[in-house]
Amino acid sequence: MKLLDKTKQTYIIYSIIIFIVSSITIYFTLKKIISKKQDERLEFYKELIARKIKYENPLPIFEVDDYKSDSLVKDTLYFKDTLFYMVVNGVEKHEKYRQLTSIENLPGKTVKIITRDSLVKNQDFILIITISVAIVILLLMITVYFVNTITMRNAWDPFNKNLEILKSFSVENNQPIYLKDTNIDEFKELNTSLEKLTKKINSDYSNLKEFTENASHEMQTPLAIMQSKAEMLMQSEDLSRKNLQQIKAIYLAAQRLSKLNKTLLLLAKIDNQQYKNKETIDINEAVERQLEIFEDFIDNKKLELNKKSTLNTKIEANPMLFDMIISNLISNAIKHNIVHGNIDILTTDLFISISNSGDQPKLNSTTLFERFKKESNASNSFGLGLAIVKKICDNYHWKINHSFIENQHNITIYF
Amino acid sequence: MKILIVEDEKELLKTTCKYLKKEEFICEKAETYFDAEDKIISYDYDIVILDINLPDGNGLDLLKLIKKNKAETGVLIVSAKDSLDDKLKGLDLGADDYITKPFHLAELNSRVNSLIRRRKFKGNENIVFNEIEIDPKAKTIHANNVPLDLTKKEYYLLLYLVTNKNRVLTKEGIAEHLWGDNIDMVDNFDFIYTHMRNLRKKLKETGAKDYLNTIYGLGYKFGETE
Repeated sequence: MKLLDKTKQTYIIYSIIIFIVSSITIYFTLKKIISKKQDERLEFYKELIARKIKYENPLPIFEVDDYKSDSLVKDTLYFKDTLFYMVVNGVEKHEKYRQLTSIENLPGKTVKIITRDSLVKNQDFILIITISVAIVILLLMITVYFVNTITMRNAWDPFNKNLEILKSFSVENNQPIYLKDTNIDEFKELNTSLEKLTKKINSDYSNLKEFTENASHEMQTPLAIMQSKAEMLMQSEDLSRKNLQQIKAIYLAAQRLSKLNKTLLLLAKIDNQQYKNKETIDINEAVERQLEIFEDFIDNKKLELNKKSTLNTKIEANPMLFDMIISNLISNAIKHNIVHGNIDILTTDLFISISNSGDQPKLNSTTLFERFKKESNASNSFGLGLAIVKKICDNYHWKINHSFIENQHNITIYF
Repeated sequence: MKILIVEDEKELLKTTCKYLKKEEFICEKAETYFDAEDKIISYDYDIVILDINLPDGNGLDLLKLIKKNKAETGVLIVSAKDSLDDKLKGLDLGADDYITKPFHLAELNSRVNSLIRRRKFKGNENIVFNEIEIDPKAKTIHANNVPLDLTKKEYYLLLYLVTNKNRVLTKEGIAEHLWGDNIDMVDNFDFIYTHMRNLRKKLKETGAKDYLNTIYGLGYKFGETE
């Protein structure tokens, strides 16, 4: 979950717990204190009365009856809560009262003094105070919550922005990363580390690319020597047929290696954004052009060609890369086809679809596009054709997929 | 015809020279930028085959030099880099053609001959081999003065064979010449056999000799059989 949500959540849970606990504590503490005070007061009044009786002072209102007790009773104090019946404004009420019953042994007489005080008052009082305090605590907590949230958000804002910047970092773009400034030390440190890290990544990647490209180019020259010497040897009239065949094998191997080299280099270049420029391409035209090149191959296998297209088939892409896609797809459609098979091409400006008859493929529809994966090990191909197509599609964010249904291979590219 | 080959890789230089010498070209060699510069200034050449990746200087500078001082010379650029930028730059600066390493010697030969025809004869001179006459401008071929009804591919095939006469040509080389780099995606070149057979038939119909020889295991050779 998000950091802010986590802290909010924790804060809220603890706030609620503290709030409840403190409210309850206040209530009961207040109640206890007030009760105690009340009892003290009741006792005080009892003393007052007792003293008044003792010193024969007139008592207000109350009658003093001789308390006749059966036995000699000690001084006792006896508190209790009781219901006191009274009539107020013609309404009968039973109110809660705190009552002190005490038996005083005074010189000459024994008296029972009962003092009472309303509890209702206290109750209300306690409740009011508790509620007031509770409200204050609640307000405090809410305020702290919002202040906290805003502070946190502001503190984390540069971090979040930098996170977005990081997400869009791609080593292939070879752009340095510019992180937002912050005055929070930890984030400052993080920024510095990230900037250093990305710089190193970019630099390492550049070096690696340069090395790969140079290595590739360097390889071409010795391969050229091998090929040309082999070709010269093949012209020789002094060599035996067997020798000539061996030389031909060397020649072919050198050629193959060179092609492999060139293809891998191509993949690297596409990665490198070296085919950046785009033009408006007519898909149909591109398809027609490639079909013409492969005309002989199609005729050789006696394939039936079906072309369908909508009127408007234009797209924005690099013409060389697009030609590579079409060329690869058509040559695959020819290569993996059966004699007297079919090739169906459907082009619209939203997708292009090529279907061809063929045998059950060994590779599944995903592995098909991986590098060096090919149908048969005996074949001369490198298994890079579809990898190139996929790379170009990825480059343009086009979706490509393959399916094999009812002996038909189907490859569709969605633009 | 005088050709200067500028190439820093000794072995490649030797082989290319040897191959072209057989075509009755006079071949001069230059292994470094300065050597090449020297030769270009001092002598006249019909064609310069120029490797632009030289260790001691940029081949494109040599190209500029040639264009400035010896504008009549045709230039064929050779590069290990299949870079579009290099290609365009070279052609912009006035190079006539561009070929990447490694290349088939027969292919190089074809291009050189093509270049010579364009420059020296403005494409006007016909190529003659015994009874076969090729008109590169009209793109027609006559054998015994009878015009051959050839498809586009068959025309280029015969042109290639005649240009590289008496050479062993591999199926791969022929296929690459006719179809470019796309052919490596196809597994077999058996259909070349079909083309050759058709060509042979059409030539035979005109009464021309059969110069198309199959060299077992290697390819084909166009020329007089011994």
